[in-house]
Amino acid sequence: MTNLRLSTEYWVFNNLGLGVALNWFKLDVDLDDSDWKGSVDYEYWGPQIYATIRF
Amino acid sequence: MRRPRYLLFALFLFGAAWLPNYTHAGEWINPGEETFTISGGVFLPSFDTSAQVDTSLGIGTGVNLEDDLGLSSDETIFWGDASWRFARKHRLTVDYFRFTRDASAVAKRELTIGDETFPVGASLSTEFKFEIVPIAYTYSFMNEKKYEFGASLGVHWYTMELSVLGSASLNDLDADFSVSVDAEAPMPLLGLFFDYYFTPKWSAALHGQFFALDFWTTTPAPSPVP
Repeated sequence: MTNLRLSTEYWVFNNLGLGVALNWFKLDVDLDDSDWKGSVDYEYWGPQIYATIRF
Repeated sequence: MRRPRYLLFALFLFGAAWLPNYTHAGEWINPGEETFTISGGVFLPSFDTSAQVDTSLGIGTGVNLEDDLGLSSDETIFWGDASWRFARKHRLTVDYFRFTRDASAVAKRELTIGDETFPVGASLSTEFKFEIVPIAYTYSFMNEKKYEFGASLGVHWYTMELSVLGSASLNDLDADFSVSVDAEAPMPLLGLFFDYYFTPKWSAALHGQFFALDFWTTTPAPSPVP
């Protein structure tokens, strides 16, 4: 499993910031669950646009 | 279903904008000095997904969910995370992602998924859900005025559900097929992060988590040949 995220944020107000990010995730695993035996290779990447509050 | 989520996000922004400029001393909160942060936004990922569901007696077909089952390779979702800095160098964080994709397609090749075999030409209806909840403790080795560097330790909690319904005509007889499987498990994660503050208002960050172990594989290794 690998998860990488590069982001930048700008605080418009003291308690409110706006940000953009790039996120890449990859999960490659063999499954031996009671219901699901096999494997999953799950990968995604893409941009995020978000707001953050802090206090 | 999307309208309430847009409304919730709008209320989140509205509430955040009207928060009083609360700090202990009524001053600007410098990076690395906040107690709580809550984030939410939109995520526009592109997917590449393969899955294999073995039969009771053998190995299932390796299926590409986008190419074979017609799932969209693009999706827009809402996500959120929260962080509590309970001491200057110590934080607890939790994130939440949920991806739900469904599609209809026609089987271009024979697909064995679980104990069902979908013939060429079968009509397929697929739903795939994938949920991630990372929960981590973060320790900052350095928390300086211009940057913060540290490591995290926690779990990624995954939940996956795959259901495929199919129908086909075989020798003038209609046949229906159905398979539904799910799996969930926590997976340990180790992470590193580096935050850099260009100014008190502008920052950039690189966060990474890694883990390499076939955690869900409990099948014993074959005995060595004498």
